[in-house]
Amino acid sequence: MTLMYSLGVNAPLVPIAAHHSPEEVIAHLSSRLETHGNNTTLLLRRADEWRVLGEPSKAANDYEHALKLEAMNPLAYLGLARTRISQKRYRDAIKMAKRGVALVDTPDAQAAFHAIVASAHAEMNNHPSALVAWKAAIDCERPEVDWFLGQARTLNNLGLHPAARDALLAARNRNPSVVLQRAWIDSLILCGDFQIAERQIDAGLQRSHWKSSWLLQRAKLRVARNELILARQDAAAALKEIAIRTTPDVENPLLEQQQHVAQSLVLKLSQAGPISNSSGN
Amino acid sequence: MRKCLFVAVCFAFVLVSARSHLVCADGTASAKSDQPKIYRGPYLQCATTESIAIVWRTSTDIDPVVRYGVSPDNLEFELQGDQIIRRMSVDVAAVSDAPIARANLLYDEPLGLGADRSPNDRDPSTRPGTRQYEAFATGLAIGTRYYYGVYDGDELLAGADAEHHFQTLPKTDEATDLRLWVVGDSGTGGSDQKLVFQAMREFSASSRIPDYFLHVGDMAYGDGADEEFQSNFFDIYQSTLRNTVCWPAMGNHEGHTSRGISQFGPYYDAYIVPTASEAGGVSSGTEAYYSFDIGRTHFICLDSHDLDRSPNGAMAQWLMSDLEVVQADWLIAFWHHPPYTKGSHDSDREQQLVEMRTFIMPLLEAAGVDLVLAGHSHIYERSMLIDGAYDTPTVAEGVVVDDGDGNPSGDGPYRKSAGLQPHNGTVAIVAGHGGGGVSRKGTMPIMREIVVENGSLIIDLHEDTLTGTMIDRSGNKRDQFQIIKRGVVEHSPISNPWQPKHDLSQITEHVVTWDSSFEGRLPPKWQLLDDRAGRMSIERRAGTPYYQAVVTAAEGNLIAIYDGIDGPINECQVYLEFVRSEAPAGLVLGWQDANNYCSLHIDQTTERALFYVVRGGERKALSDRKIDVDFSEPLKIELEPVNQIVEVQINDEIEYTVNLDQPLKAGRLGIEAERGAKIRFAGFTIEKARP
Ligand SMILES: [Fe+2]
Repeated sequence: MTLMYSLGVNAPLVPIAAHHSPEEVIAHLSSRLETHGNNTTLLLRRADEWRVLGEPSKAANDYEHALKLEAMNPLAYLGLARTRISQKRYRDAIKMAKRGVALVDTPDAQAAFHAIVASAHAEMNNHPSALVAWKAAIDCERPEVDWFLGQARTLNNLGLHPAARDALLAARNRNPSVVLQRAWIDSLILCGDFQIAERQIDAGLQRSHWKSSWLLQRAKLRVARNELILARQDAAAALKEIAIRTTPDVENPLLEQQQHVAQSLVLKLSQAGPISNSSGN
Repeated sequence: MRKCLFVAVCFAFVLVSARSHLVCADGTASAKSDQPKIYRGPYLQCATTESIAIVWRTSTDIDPVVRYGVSPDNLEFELQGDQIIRRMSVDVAAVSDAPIARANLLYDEPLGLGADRSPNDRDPSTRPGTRQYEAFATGLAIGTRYYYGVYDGDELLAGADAEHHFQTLPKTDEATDLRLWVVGDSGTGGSDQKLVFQAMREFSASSRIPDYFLHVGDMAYGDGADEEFQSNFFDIYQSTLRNTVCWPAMGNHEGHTSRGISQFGPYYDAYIVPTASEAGGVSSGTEAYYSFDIGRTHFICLDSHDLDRSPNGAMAQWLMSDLEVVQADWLIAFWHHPPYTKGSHDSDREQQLVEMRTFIMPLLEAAGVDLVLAGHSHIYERSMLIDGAYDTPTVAEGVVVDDGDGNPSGDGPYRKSAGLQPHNGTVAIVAGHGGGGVSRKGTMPIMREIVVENGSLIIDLHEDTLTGTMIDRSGNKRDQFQIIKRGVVEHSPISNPWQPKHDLSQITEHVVTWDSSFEGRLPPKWQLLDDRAGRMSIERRAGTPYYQAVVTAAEGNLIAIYDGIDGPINECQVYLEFVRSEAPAGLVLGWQDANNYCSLHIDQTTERALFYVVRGGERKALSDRKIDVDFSEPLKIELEPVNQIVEVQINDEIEYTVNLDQPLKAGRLGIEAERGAKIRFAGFTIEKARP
């Protein structure tokens, strides 16, 4: 039926004891490979384990070895293409994904390959090619949220802001993810659709207990509207809240990102005027 | 909820599978008339304050109807027609008169994968002839118990009794007493899994039946195949599933056949979870990760297996948004790969575990998470009250904020501020002990309780107090802790907290490995009984980074004894390969001295396995049998001594029991090669007996 090679992680395979660590599984697979010799399935499984251990070059070796044995194996191409992305070898990733996509025959099965091609092109700032690939990836039954976001980023990079906005709205109609909603609000601001954006943000602020991400989004809106003092107040309020939620010298990658955005906004807008006390909401 | 996703279903119509399934011409599987029509369920999914899904499977076509009501004697409401979604295996769809949407097809293994599958592995596809029915009852009263029955037209198939009931979620603005049952890594279908289940039921019968079931993944070993779900999950837990919603997290074993990207496979066929904030939280738009509120407790389930775990990935971005809106009193997060463990897995080394700790834990603790539940590592590990433990490797210094045992009858409960306050302390629990073989590799320094025994966890919420109780498979209470959230409590990190003892005697799993530093010599802790008989040295295995021992018995019988472990063992295992096959070689067990030990010998020439015991210098064969194995690859030999017997396993295929003439005395392990044999071995693993 449907060839769902959507994610070539682990093909169903040799029963390997449930509680074994990747190292033990690798040792087991290696000893089987030693004697079974050329077995694609074992190689793919070991490659996946190498990826779990964060050893992309060893993973790539195994995928390549598997492809030498079986040049038509789409899972090997998918794994290798993903590995190449993690190694930042984007051209290789595209080459492998394109070979793989030719070996599967339904939109669902092809989508994951198109998504790799798209993200590799996007990384290399080949936006027109990335756009073509994103569209192909999304043309399946259940596109991932990340793919919709990738497509919108690419459209924005091409200066096609209204198209990005419309694509995100269309995406939201297919998938209720809040992450798509937030990206859509960003695109509304970029397109100057301030009123719709403001309504969305106000509702978000209303609903949220922690508000920093919404405050930053409103700060963006206010910068776009040239309400610089208000924008700065929002950024400062976000900073205050982030300080409450984080511990000095203890990492928090996502909140630190917000913190950097807020800090640079405050800095950039420092000429705009004093911060009033009624910040945030 | 899957219902929402159906709106956007594209009508890709069914192509007939090239694979033949055993079905009748009309698409019905041939089922005996005396067999129950329902083979899976009915079970409950995706409860909200006003709705629930009732799911079941049959092997024949039925006219599905669900009747329900607030008393089992009066099932006054009815679901039928469009209120019940029909899904099916591809063979049923292939002969359907109406076109079937792709989303309504149950999992069928892609052809390319089937070709590569070992004959020993199960076909992961849905059982041919399967119909799955998903009935959505909506417009229900909040926090209310309903009874239900499943019918084929007017014929009752299941329920309409006191055991088949469901409960809508309670109001989110009122505290509700709640009991949760937390299980991980249970899906073996074996006796330990059943004992764990039984122990929970007995414990609950005298106190409170769990209101909800959280499964932290690995519920269907080995590959999450559809039939493995049936035998290792549904068949075992049905008496609970018919009246208790199971909220699942996907494990890596389910990930062998199911995928977080695009959400397909037997796991996603089995479950329906909220995706559009039907039960609280914000919309995730995917069944791979989701959240829900039960009363004043907010739950978050993540996919730690096969999705992007990084801060910019959609899952972390959704999590951030979800945590912004939480205004509950309690926050419980669960997923499969534990952020902290030294059980059968190591969170300092494995990427999924490291990433859940470094990317996800900071977000959760910034939102005041109370409990983080995981599995994967086959052990029970329960932390002290911790905060900010994101470094690799994990250390206890500066991240433990209360190093007591949290036990009300010990050091006293952990204290936290009322509500959800950032960085106010978390208890992290690994509950991967639900049925698989348990083991411990090391000591995770932030843990307060480490139990290497099968069991499960019960969590009780009552007003401002959360109580966690670990019940082992024998029904014993092995750990209890409490968190009380009241007033304002400030914590500061303890620079030199209590730490669990890294007592080697507690480490059950002992793997003997070598590296280049041992090359060309006899490794430490190994001694040769008679070094004139031959030699043993470490060599690198050609073309691999691994080292193995090579034993040559040129001049006489050579016995190499390992001194690293003493005392009773549960199991030992070795991969052994003949380089020269003129003489037998094997594994030594229960070594006292040269005159008293047991040994399993493999003779490649005669293709036999011989188990003998040497007592007072006299050798006596206890078992001698022909073995049909492929000698061109290393033989996996496992010996499991239990009282007066030894279970022998060769290559996971041959399995038999040797009866000893008297109980085996605990002793050392080793390798024996008779004169003329040359062997290599690796993967020498010993599981010590639990005290
Ligand atoms: Fe696992």
